[in-house]
Amino acid sequence: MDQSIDVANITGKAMKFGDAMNTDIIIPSKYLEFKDPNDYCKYVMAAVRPSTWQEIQDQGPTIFVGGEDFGSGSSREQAPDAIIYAGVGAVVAESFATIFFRNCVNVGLPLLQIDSVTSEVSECDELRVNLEEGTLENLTTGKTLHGKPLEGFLLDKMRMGGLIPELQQYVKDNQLD
Amino acid sequence: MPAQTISEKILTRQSIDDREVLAGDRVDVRPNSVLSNEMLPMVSMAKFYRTGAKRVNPEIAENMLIILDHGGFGTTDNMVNFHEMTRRFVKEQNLQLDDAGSGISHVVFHEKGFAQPGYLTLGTDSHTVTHGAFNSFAKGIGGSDLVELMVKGTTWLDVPYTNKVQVEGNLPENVYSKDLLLFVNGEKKMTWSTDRAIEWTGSTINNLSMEARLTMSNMAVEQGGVAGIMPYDAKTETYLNTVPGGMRGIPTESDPDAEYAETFEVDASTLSPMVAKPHSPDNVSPVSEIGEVELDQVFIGSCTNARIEDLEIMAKIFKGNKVKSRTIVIPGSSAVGLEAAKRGYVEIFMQAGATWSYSTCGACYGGSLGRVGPGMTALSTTNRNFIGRMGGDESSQVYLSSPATAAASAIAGKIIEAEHLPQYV
Repeated sequence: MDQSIDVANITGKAMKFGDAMNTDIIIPSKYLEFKDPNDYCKYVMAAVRPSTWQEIQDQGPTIFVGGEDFGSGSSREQAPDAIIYAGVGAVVAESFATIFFRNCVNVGLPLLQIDSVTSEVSECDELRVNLEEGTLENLTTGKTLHGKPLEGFLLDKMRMGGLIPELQQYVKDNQLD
Repeated sequence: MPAQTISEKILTRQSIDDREVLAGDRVDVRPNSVLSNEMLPMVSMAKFYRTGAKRVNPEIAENMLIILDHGGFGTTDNMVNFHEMTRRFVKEQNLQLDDAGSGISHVVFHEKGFAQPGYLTLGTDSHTVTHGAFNSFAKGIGGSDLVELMVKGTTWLDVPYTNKVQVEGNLPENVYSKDLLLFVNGEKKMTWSTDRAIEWTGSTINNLSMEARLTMSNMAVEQGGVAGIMPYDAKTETYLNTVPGGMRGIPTESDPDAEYAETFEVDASTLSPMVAKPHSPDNVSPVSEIGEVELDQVFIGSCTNARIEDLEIMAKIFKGNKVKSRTIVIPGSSAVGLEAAKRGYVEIFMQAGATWSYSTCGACYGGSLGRVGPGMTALSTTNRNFIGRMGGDESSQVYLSSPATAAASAIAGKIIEAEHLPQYV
């Protein structure tokens, strides 16, 4: 959304998913033709949980918690965009697919890798994510989980809200406009 | 200088500051060639303008090929608009376009000579890894990454560690590179090569045709791989002698003492025809063990298995037979389609009762021409069978196989090994 992100303090209610949530599940190709993420985000994760978008609207700020290989498959960056526009503040998963990980940084979707996170978080737990520390505080259980902190290089991009704001600066600095 | 893998050598060569790199390094690179498709109008164009930039970086413009493949001729009003937006952008920025109908990007791209040994190729599609069959480092990127390339001419990459697959022995009759690939998928699963490159090596790989190698590199991403790299040899050279501009790259080998994260050895002579069962390309089983699976539809096409050799294999099986299941055959490109027509394959397919189409991705990603509905069972020569990918929902059962298994199964109306087709001699 090209907006700066407070990467040290992202809060929301947990919504849990399993392993191998590929991009065809996150957002099926037929909805990408809507082009506007405000439209296609309504179908986010609908393949495995049809009410996902409505549930997020009802409960407010949400954090997705997933198992292994979150985001495998297609290179479509509409997948992280669909998650952001649906109202999700961050994705915490046990592992991420390579292209999806980079797309999240590029579009400004905070993400954190934590081993066995799915066994430490229950549905609707109140969570706080700190990308600088690489931590997930489970405010419901009082337990803090430690994951892999995002490196400075990627964190800086995330703070700016993704790649496009950075490129806007590059275009100005190099007088390409 | 420390020993290097193919990936490390290519990324060293393409680093913008001539830096020797090894796995684990991060490097700014300039790609040799760039691929795009409908991701350009759907995502990248608007973001490009939002950066304030006016012109696509001239080196990128020169080395980028845009192929409209996912949306057919324009199967919906929105897709027609996306295609027209692309044409206008191509004209405005003086880019190179293969318009809808000319073929699937990962076939047209190498037919037009954009895939070369030693190249760094980046493309807005996860199956860009296909071009690793030409001994290149070819990787899928997102739509914003393409914007970075269009604005700056460069981007950053993490130099990957490499998994090696060593394959020795002769593939048995009716067993193809797709079966070999599916076997490895089943053994190693989709996360095996996450963040890593894959190098394929061994006598079996050397004996494979370019088409067969392309099938395997195409599905490197189904093992999580950021690249799926094949050796360069006389077959690569012979193919490249047929493309515009000929051979322009630098054949690249790993050093003998290069370090691999993991090596997986396969004895090809022990393999049999394989299928991936719903709903994942790593849910693999020998055809002989899946029992009775009746088919509503067979889909033959995609950047995985719709090149001329694939159609040749199927034509031999279809000849003189009739299909029992609804069957759709889509050539990988218009050039493949023309060659199939010249060789009489189109006549064979149509006389067998299959539907022959212009070239496009079709139902592979659920776009058009052969989508499945809820409750339907299909066999497909494509690369992914995720829930809903070819249309439908969790109740739609999609299996993946080689062209030989798909053709024989279309005739039998159920999934069988080609050698069990009674009429097949």
